[in-house]
Amino acid sequence: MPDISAIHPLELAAWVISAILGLWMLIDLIRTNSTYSEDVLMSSREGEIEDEFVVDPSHRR
Amino acid sequence: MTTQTTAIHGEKVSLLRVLGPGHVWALGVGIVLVGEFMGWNFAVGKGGALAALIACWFAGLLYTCVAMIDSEVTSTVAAAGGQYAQAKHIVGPLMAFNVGLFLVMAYTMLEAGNAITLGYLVQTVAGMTGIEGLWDKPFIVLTIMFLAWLNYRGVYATLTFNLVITAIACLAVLVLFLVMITVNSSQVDHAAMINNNTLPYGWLGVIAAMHFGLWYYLGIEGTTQAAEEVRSPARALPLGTMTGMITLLIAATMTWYICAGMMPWEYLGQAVTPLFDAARMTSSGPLMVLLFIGTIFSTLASANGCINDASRAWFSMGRDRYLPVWFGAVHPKYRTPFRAIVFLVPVALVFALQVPLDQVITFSILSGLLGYTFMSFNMIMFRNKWPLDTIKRGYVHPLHPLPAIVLLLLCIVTYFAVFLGYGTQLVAMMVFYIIASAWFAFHRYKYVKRGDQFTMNWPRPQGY
Repeated sequence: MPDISAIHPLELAAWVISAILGLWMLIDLIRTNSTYSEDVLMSSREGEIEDEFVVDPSHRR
Repeated sequence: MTTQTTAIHGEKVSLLRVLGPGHVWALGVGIVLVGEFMGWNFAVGKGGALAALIACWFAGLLYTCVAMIDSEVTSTVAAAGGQYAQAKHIVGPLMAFNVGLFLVMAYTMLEAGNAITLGYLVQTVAGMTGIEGLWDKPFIVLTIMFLAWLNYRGVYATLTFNLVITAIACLAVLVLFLVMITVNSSQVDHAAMINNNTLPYGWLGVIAAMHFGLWYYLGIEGTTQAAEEVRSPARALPLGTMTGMITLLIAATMTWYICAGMMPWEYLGQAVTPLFDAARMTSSGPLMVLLFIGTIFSTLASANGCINDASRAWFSMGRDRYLPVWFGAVHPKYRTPFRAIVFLVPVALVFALQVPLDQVITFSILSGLLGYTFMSFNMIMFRNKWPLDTIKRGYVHPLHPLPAIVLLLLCIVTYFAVFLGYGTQLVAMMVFYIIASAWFAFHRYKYVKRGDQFTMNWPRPQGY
């Protein structure tokens, strides 16, 4: 087992912050997957441009 | 539930259109600028200072062709995935699959290379402040985790962050250049540094220098990945890409002028942080701090942009079923391709923690180079199939087909340059893409809904 006391506090801080950020993403991903249906999550379509957001008239349909 | 309702098809979530030309500039320049702070100077080691300058110009020409071609095609194919979406519509599915992989590999490897560099920088600074023996690995992991988290949370904050840190890094190069041509001009002496040794390895050295000459600009084509998230693709993409290319041409020239005039080419050719070294030679505390911050920020901006681009390419391929469709999901709250972002984290970590820096960089350059070769064919086919009067373009590049031909010729020269130094990696990379292509053609393509993947409202191509 590695000796925790041999780890520099800066290294330890980097590991802890990395773990927190990684866990945050993982938990949010699982929660989002279970809250929303796949149909909603996958509803993005390539090339669909919502006119109200688009300034350039050449890309309006 | 946080979703939006549109007239298109009811309840849906899509990527958010919030970016402007400044964000596009920050994405392109942010990915590349780290190459000015470190990496470009290995071209000096290959062929001397003048060879690196010639490589800077020719690589600049190569990337100007890339930016022109990209700007025209992307102003028409306004979709996430950039060159992948272009290849899908213009060439065909197998080319598109390969281009998608080139993009993901090039950006993920570059992200890993940046994380390794950042770990090294933290270790070095710790050593300079008396903290000896600090391990670089936790900081490599932290870099990748923090930037992935930022990307996960939304594109606007991610690229606004890139805009700020990239602007500061650009400013650092400009300030150093201004100091060196005014108050410290006596420290810059190109003739003395070159010392009558203009091309130490002859013209072969110039060709070999093209390998790392790409480092001045590698990644500027990543601006196209923002196509589905900019408010006005036809305006913002060409504007952001071309101003980005102009910025890089100026920054590359200033960088060469400073470093080649202050350091002997034998040292410069193997220096780790040449611009920071130049600042140290001035003995100015504020300049050293500014250039150190610039080095750190440029590395962060590059890794940040790479995560953005790799995840968009992966997401687009998932959405078209070129990869498992699971990756084609958008986060309902943050409106980002969250599954693609999370999936690519361990991939980047493996390369950053297990593969040496020069190998990671070479794999990134090779994947980029394969993508540029595709662009030259893509442009010719685009104009042949859809001439100028058949599709309205946001930008039309001049002198067609000259840029496509010049691009192809420069790519061939650069393949030879890479072969001179990293022939084994070149062959290994080709084998990897051939195996991946076989997997796609014989297995994966049966899952693709062939009609659904062509989304552009274009007329039938000429000759079909």
